[in-house]
Amino acid sequence: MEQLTEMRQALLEEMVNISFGKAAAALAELLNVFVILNPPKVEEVACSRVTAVLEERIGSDQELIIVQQGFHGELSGEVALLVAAETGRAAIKILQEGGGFLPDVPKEDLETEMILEIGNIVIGACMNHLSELLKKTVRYEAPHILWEVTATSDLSSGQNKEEQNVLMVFTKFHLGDNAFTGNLAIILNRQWFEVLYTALDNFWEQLSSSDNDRLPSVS
Amino acid sequence: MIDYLQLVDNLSTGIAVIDRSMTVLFWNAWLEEHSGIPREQILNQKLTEKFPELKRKGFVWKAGTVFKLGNFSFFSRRQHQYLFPFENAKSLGSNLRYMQQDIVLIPLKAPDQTVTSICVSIFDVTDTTYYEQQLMESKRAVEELSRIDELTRINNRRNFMARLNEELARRRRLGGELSFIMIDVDHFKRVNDTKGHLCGDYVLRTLAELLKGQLRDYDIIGRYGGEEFGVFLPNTDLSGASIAAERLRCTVEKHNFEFEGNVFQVTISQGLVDTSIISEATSHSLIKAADECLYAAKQRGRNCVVPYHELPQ
Repeated sequence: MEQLTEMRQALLEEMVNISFGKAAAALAELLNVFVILNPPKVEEVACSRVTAVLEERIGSDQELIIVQQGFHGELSGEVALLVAAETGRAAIKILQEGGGFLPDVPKEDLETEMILEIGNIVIGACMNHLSELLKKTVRYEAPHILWEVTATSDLSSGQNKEEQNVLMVFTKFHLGDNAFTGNLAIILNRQWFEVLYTALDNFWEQLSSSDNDRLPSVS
Repeated sequence: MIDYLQLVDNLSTGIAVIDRSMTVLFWNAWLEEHSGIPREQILNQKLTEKFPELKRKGFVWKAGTVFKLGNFSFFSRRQHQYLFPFENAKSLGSNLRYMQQDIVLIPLKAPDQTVTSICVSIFDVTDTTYYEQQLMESKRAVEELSRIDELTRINNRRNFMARLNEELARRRRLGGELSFIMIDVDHFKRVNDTKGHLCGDYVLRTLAELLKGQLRDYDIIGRYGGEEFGVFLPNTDLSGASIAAERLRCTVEKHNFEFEGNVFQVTISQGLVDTSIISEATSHSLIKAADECLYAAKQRGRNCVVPYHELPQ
């Protein structure tokens, strides 16, 4: 059975790190703000533990807004952007002042539109660079918002109610002096592990045969 | 050999392709039909010049992010309703003038992964929007039915009790007195028996309006039983509630009820209690105490208010 070995885990974390670095640079240029994406953590977790793991990372006392977006193609899963509930105004400010984006939508829909947009571009930037590095094509579903999520909400994917493992890639992000800050979680469904591991192994082989100095260190 | 142009022209979806300068590179048959713009008139023209409203809806920004970041971008009809003002082809049963649209901007990439153009996919979701509106309307109607008494259009008993319990809980946290009035229509059976049940319904409807008209915005009235009404007055002690109850009594007594040419008078009896009198006041204990007062009001001859402290101990 394919496994998330230490080597694969380290390699994936490094690839995500590289991708997120490029994503941060692209977002900073687009939004005219300072962008930080923290080094990611990769782990394989049981589907039933997804909520618990997110609580451990974020803390169980916060009320959150989650922008959730599915992706499919040569890899399939979902990405969740988790931010504190009061971030709506920050999203509006960053997009309007930094990006010059203020669409003509009804006033009661503006906060939703801005949070969806900022979620879509952060998720899109990160996933696009990662999928390029993995040489995999993915397509995206429209994002949607889960409002006022608390620790007791069931965040686990509807597709995976059975006891299956998923791969979680987790990082913190900060936009614009912590104006818009939160956590990003990529959840990859188990049936795509083999595809991912093959891509990682191929990448490792390429690195091994070209430049030994660039190999990630594994304890 | 597949004729991809024929395939794309037969899709029930709008497909356009634009480049970085918003120039239209492709325009499928669906778009020709719904826009009224033939392909040859729009190819090599700027999309934002043919549809200037796209700019203020954020289309140029979102297309820009697709070119810069290589991501997909979305316009949901929930926030935008539509981007392209295409007339709604279905007029029967729909109040939507324009086609409701979900739109996806998809990056088209060169082998080196540079985004060279964008596929604009337009989905007609007017039917879905219409059914959603119908569903929301039904939901609102059901919610109202679950809260409102159908005859008198005031709170039904269930909702009235829920509001009372909420207010009592608030009072336990923040303090303040709450007064409760139980109101009963005098000789209501006689009204039904001599003038008919339709007249009885008219009396109850009219009473509800009269009583509501004499209360403050934050006082709560509900139909407690067949001919009983409950009123609770937040942040009001017994002396304040007594003034309100007497006002209600006079208003009803002076009103000329008129039904099918018959003019007649109706009176009400009231039992009045406040939370200072009952330790650990609950809705149950308040109603029980107010009921005792109401009974005393009936014993006294009706058309009067009996506050709790006037009950024989």
